[in-house]
Amino acid sequence: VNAPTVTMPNTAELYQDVQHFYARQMQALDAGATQVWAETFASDGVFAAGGMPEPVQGRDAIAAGAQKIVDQFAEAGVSRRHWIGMLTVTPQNDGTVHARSYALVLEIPRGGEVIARRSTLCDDVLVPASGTWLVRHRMVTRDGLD
Amino acid sequence: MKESSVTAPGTAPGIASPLVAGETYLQVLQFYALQLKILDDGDTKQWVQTFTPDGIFEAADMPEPIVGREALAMASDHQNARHEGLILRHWVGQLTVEPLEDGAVRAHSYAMVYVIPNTSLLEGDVHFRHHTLCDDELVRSNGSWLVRHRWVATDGAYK
Repeated sequence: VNAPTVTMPNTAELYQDVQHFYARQMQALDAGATQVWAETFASDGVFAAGGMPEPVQGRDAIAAGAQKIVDQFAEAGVSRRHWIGMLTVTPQNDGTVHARSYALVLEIPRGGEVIARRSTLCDDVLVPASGTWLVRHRMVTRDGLD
Repeated sequence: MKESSVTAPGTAPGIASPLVAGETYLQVLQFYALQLKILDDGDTKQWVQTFTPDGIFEAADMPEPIVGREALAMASDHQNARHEGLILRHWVGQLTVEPLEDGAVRAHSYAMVYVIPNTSLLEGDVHFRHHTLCDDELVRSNGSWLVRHRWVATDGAYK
């Protein structure tokens, strides 16, 4: 068995841009800006997650799905914060980028302590679009569930 | 007093608003690493030098903004006294940096704030105390960055 290899990003700039993209994307989700969140996906983008019966496709469906969860947390008075790390960025021959990361999901109830609620793996195909990136396909795997 | 010029404090930037290019982003990342280390070291003298002379620090739970290095120093000394016997750590992440028209930048970030009792090697459990949002305006100064305006909100505490 060969040791796993990591193809290094061809530029430092690409890695930073992708890191920056994730920071903005997760800020939008955590702030409940579900329209902004949906716009970080390609128009026919797919969001799939372990535990979800079917993948969600298209910005409207992605926004609606996120809004439902945002509303539940708002109702419960809980802030949710996604921390992305352990990112690898692998450019593909077709101009897309394969990005994998861990996400640690923190929850802070009103007046309460910080809870590390979930650990997930995020497996994305990103496509370039007018100076930024869009998610064409996301597969989220929740640690301990799948 | 200069008002923040992009969106209201704490609001997520639109996806269409531009982000700074790589080199500036790295500089700002490193600025935070340095500034928060100084804060956690309790080094008031260095800390106030990371703000402009008339820098502003606002927090959702403070009745009034703190303005200027002298007032920042007093606030810092007060905080340091509260953390006597504890090691304090601010861990900043999820940083976004947008250019502003006047050459300044607007930086949004998260911070995990935790303390470790400074007792012995065997009793050093990490205690997560807060999670905060930080919304800054930074200006270039002598090859580094300074905070012109900081706005901080603690998650869960104020809505």
